[in-house]
Amino acid sequence: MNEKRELTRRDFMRGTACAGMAITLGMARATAAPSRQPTKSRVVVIRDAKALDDKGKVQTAVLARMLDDGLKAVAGTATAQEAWKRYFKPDDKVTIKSNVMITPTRPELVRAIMEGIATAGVAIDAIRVWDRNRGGKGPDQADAKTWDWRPGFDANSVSNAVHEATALVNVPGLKNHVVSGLGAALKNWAGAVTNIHPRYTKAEDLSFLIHADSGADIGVLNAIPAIRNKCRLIVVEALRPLCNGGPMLDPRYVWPYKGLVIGTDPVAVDSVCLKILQGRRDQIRGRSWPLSPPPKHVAIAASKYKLGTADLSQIEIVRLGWEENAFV
Amino acid sequence: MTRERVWTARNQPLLDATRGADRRRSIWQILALARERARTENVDSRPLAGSNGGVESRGYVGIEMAETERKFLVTGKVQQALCFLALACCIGCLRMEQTRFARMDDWKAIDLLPSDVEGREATPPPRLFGPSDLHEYMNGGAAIYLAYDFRELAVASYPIGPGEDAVVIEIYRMGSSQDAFGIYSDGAEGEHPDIGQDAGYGVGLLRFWKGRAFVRILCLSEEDERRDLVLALGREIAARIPETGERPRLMRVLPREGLVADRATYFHTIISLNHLYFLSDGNPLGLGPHTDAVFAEYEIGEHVPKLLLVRYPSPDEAAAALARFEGVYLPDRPGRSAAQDTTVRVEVLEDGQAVGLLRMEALLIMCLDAGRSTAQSLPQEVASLFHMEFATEAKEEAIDE
Repeated sequence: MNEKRELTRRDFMRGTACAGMAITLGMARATAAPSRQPTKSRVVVIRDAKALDDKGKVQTAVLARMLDDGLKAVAGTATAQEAWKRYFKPDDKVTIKSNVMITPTRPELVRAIMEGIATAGVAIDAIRVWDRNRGGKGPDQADAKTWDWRPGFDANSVSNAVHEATALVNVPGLKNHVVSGLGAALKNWAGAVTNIHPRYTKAEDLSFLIHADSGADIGVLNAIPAIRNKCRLIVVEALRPLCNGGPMLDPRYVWPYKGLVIGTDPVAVDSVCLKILQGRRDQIRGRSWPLSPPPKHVAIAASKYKLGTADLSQIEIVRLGWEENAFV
Repeated sequence: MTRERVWTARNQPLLDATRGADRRRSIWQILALARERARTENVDSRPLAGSNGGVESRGYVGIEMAETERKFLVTGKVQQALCFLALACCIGCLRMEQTRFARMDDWKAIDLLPSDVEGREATPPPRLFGPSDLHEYMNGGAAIYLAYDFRELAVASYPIGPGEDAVVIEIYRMGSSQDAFGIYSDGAEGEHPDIGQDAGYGVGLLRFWKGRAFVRILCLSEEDERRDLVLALGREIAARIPETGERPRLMRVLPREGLVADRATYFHTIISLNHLYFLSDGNPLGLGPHTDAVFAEYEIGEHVPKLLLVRYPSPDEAAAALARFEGVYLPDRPGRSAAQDTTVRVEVLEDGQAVGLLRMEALLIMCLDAGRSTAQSLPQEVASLFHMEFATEAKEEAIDE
């Protein structure tokens, strides 16, 4: 096959004819190269119908329980504390990569993660949270409105927040993205770097060319050694995901999924997230309504950067809790 | 109402000139006051880039004229602040007359924001974004707006009710009314209240366009939808927009039969097409700011065909784009015959759906996901409508001459 041949919709059609899931099959083929995962990647999808009340308000106790139960399932431990201890040590400097853009990560989830990490012996007031060039410390600053920390960026345009941490937690919100098709674990690291927007800068002068070609090369951010080596856990907030038009908030396409997607393999987590968004879109239209553009950065993160597993057949999806319209 | 505020990069209000005696002060006096306040409070501020710090004004020519200097940094270094503010004032003086005239036929997005919603002002103060920093507001999502010749955004969040509920108002000024319509047409589904030139409302979000303005009003309320409030705000803002504009003429060449309501989008660039309907990597159609394009969905029988129309600056460019696209999309099919240059080329693809391709002068017509007969007939209908629409225009121009 000619390496330079452009991928077209017809390539996805051929995938559709074989497996009925064009995007997923497209990724499966792209991940023929060996990934870093020797065994199946485990991704937990945990949902609770009571995670939000009828006004959409987060029920913090329910959310904390979902987080603990989900983490236990990911780590395969008997207790939540054991699970947290598996990922974090008391002397770790933990920083949570949140998302404060139009559809922000819920502060209740950030706070619950801080409290969970604290059970591993990490001083809760030292746990930081940040996005772009703003951040905070401790549960009192879980909400971005209170942030006053400005970590700045190094000479390579990578946030000092990444360098100052010994452990990172990736906590994006689940959304469709008009540029890349999917905004979840892989794309969330766009807020950990600067000089990525090409408006008045030549492409060759950008630190990371991640917005070209439908965000195909987003995986480059996850491949930054400091990020790749330090990210211990991914918790995707899927309480009210956005399945169309993101990142701009359009409430017509937000729905109460009331879930968390938890794992350690960013590609596998995104592959599962993709399936959830696709399921909701098909449900809305009553027929196939493919994510557009196809989020090829997920497959490329696996094939080019060896960041994880995109092939759903190689992902162990553990489904817990509320099952209605889970889409996985 | 004239209103000026000065605040720091951390959105800490430094001076609110909307109240009391300050309302009657000139902009120069307000700047002097801000300078003094910065000195006495030793304001600790951050570099301006990407922040919201600065001085902004509504309805006051003295500041609005210095468009690129609308944001003034107030730093802890008093000397620097003094120099910066003085420079801004000088630029303002030099451009005052020029801008006074410019305002007669122009408007600013921030002028359209209401001073309050249900008696409560925006918190934090309104923010302004231009093409170079729109990504600070919406990150990668900015690319879609930039593809429609985005000029400026004024955004403000107004608290409502006793809790944390808020109404967020975003007013975008685009380069043309066609572009304002275009960004509106991308996601126009919903009920259609009579606001602006077209409006769509659903689940707390109102979107409308009028002239070069595209407006989004979003009510983030835990209460039941604040529909009446959102629609009333929409009417108020629409009434303040001092112009109307033309819809893109290319929209008129869409056959009406079978056209799905609210699923016809006007656009220019590949980033918009990829988001509407992914055809291929790269940009074989050569889409860009110079191309006018429409993507529309139909329901015809059991099929859900789509029409993609692209109007190029010249027939040669359209022909080249078609040849490029066929090379990328149909590399396994025999090449276009000479006879097909003026007829619809129909190819049935792997999924049993047909694609129909036709070029008519500078217009490229593509029918996708269609039955074979529709792939043949729909492009022909478009060609006929295009001929009528634009032939009339040519005749009118000839008569004028």
